[in-house]
Amino acid sequence: MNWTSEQILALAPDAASAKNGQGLAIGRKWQNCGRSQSVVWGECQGSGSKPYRTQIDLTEPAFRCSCPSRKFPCKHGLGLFLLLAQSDALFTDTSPPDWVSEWLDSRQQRQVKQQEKAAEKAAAIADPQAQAKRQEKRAKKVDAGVAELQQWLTDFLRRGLATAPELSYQQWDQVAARMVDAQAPGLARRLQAMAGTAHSGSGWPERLLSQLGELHLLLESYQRLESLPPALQADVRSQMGWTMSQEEVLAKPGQVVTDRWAVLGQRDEVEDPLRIRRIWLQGVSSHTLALILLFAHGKQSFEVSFLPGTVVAAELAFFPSAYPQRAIVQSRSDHAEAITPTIVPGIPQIADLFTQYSHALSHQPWLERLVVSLQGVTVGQESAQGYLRDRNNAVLPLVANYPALWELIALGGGHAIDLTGEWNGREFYPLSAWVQGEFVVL
Amino acid sequence: MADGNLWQTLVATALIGTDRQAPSEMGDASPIGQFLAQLPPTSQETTLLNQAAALALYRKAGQKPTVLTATASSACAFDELPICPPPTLAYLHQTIQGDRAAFLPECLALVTQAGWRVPERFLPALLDRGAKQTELRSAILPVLGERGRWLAQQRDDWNYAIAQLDTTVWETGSRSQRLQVLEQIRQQDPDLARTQLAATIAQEAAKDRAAFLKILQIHLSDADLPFLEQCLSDRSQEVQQVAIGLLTQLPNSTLCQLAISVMQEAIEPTGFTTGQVEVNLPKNLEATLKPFKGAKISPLSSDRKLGKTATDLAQIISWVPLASWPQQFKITIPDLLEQTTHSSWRNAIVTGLVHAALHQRNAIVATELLYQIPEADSLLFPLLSPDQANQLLKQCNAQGEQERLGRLIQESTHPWDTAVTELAITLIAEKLRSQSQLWTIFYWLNEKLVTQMDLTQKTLIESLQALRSEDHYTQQQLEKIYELVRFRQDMVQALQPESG
Repeated sequence: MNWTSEQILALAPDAASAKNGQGLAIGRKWQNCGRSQSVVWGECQGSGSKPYRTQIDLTEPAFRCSCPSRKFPCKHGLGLFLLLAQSDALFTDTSPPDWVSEWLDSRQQRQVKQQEKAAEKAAAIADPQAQAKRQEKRAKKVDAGVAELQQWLTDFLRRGLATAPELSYQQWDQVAARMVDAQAPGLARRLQAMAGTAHSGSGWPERLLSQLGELHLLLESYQRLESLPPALQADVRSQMGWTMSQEEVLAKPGQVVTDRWAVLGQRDEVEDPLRIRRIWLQGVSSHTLALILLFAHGKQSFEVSFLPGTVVAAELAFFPSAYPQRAIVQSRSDHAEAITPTIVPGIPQIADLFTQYSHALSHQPWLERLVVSLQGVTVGQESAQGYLRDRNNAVLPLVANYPALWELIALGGGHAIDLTGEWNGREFYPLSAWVQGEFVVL
Repeated sequence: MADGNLWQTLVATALIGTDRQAPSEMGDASPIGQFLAQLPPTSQETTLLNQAAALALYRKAGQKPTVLTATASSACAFDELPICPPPTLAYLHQTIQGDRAAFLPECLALVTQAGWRVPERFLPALLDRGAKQTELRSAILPVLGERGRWLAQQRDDWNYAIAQLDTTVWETGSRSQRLQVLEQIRQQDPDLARTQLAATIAQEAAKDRAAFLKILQIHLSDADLPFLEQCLSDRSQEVQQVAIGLLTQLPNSTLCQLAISVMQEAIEPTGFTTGQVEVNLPKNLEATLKPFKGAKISPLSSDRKLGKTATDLAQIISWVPLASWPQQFKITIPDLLEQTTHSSWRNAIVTGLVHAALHQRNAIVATELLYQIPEADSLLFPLLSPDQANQLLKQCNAQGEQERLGRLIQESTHPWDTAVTELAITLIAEKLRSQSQLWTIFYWLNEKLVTQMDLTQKTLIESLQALRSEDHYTQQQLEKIYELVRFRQDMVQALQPESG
């Protein structure tokens, strides 16, 4: 399949690596470039006496390089991949040298080991007695935290929201810290998010009241947890910050969907010291949407990679939810193909996005975001604030200061394009587009 | 009550606080109103939170898109030019957005030559570069394609790329916008530009008047004569000088005609044939020159200072159209220089001719003068074409003018040919050996060699690669330079049409 530079650069761990990788995407820098089925390799002369040996398993893709860099993938990996995308004639089809095949073998062995390990862990978790004990202990702490927070909310409303601007960030943080102690980090996150609302400009009382309303709904739901359907119970727990481990999900998934998954796009965010990556997939036959959520510390690499614009057969285990989105990869194929324009359905009008969103909220009222593919929208801007417009002249605001706004406008040229992005109820964040039959990573 | 009103009431209550105001009854006939009415009775604060939870979610889930009534702006027309092929992308990225900006002008020229346009994704960054660096604009325009021009319409700072004129900018824009728009108008309709300038010039500040007037250099013609001659009586000396500079390029101007007639009177017509030039300036010269009092002529060097009469003579000569020498005085410039070698007016004649070549932008005469008058280097060298400049540099070397050669190579901005590149590398090697002025070498290497050297000869690249320094830092710099040259070489190769 053909890769685009943007697809590959999406794998870069940071901007510097992306830049340096592009500097290495030059044929002269490489020797003995070769490829065999789904693996490519090459040797790059660096500052050392021996050239660095760089190899890429294109299936995932996975990288390996003999350079000492701790970044992953390193600039050589990105450079070699970009070179393949831009000038694949430089790669001769041949059987891999020993250093490449050794790596491939070790990868396969490791995968088998990992699967065994996961199975062991899952078995350990399956011990129902131990689990029940753990949960009971935690529930007690959370109950106390919930009661405390409800009292705090009552006091707050008695004084009135007009006093909110007088609350310092520190005061909000104190309440949030109490919730962390009570093992309800989800509540802490909500409180931290509210700390800035009173200073967010006109309309803040409405925004703050909405946030308080959502928080209240969550607390009330938690107190009635047993009366809720099991899937919604899982949502409430997860909103409280009571997340399931991968092993727990694998042991007891909400559902397992086997399909060929189109990788629609990904978005990285930094919550110091964590880096968070959201990868959005959609099943080609089931049309199920899936979110692969990944975390990495500092310069660590993400454990899983899916290249936007590819289609990969995989078995996904979903976290239990009344509106299942988040999933983990149970198994995946070694083979990736290029995405094609109509492989997953989009929605033809912006009004449908709102219908979908309201449908989703009716299942899971705390849903943070939805990924949506819009068909035939034009991108416009007014004083550098971007918006999308459909054929009925309905508009959708883009996120303020969307970094690729002008690139997107340039790509669209005022013509209708298909666009996939995240909708959070207020703003749309484009992740990828179809422009004249080509998949573009934004 | 619509949900919007319910919500506003609720927000108002929440702001004041339940201590001072109890939450009101929320029920009404609407579905959400009925739902709110069913909520179980509880404390005032919880009632308020219950209502907020229900209404906030209801409103969030019930959003409808805004519908615009204004029609969408028009889409971009079809682009004739093909887009740069994939192997060029790394170079475009490095020169437009990366740290190889020094090669951007050459990169854009190669894209233009190949008949390509820049891929859409690069357009915003490229237009930004042109917005900040006006000198890049002429190289940027040809590679934008329809898409780039369409995009440029959407931002004021990218407006420079749009062909169509916005004449209102001339009345309302900032100084730089006005300069730009006047330049555009002048390119397309020289008469219109002059008329517009003439209409407002009296109200402009002196500095702006001079800057605007300079734009008339584009498509300068006899049609500009009356206006330029009017500008001679401007209050500002700077404006007068710009006007005079332009008038000297128009042989039909009063200024040129006056200069010719003064020269005819001043020089014995027989003087040239006898190898001696006698100069007798007219007695009433001061009065004759009065309308041009703003003009100033500076000596070429401190050794070539001129007296009062000599300054007048140099001034007059600088105004004589260069073509008049063979036509009216029947003498070529080289002959004039030859025959006045020993004249006591030598200095004045040379100074006048150098300024004439400069004002009249005559590269041929400039070359002839430079072969004999090294002091004119800084004024005239920039006028030369790449070929003329390379020839002159080789001549300097042949005549052993090493100091001048070094200086001119440093000043040059043109692409060097094989021989000049060789000379430059030799000069660098010498400096490296003598360990002198290392910073000059790095400047040379970075700013000149990598962008101007000839890449076609393998031997040159090899001799560049052979440069070595004992000093670790210097050696590192040399390796970086070599890397830059290799980048440029790769870029040139990748941007050849056949490689796409």
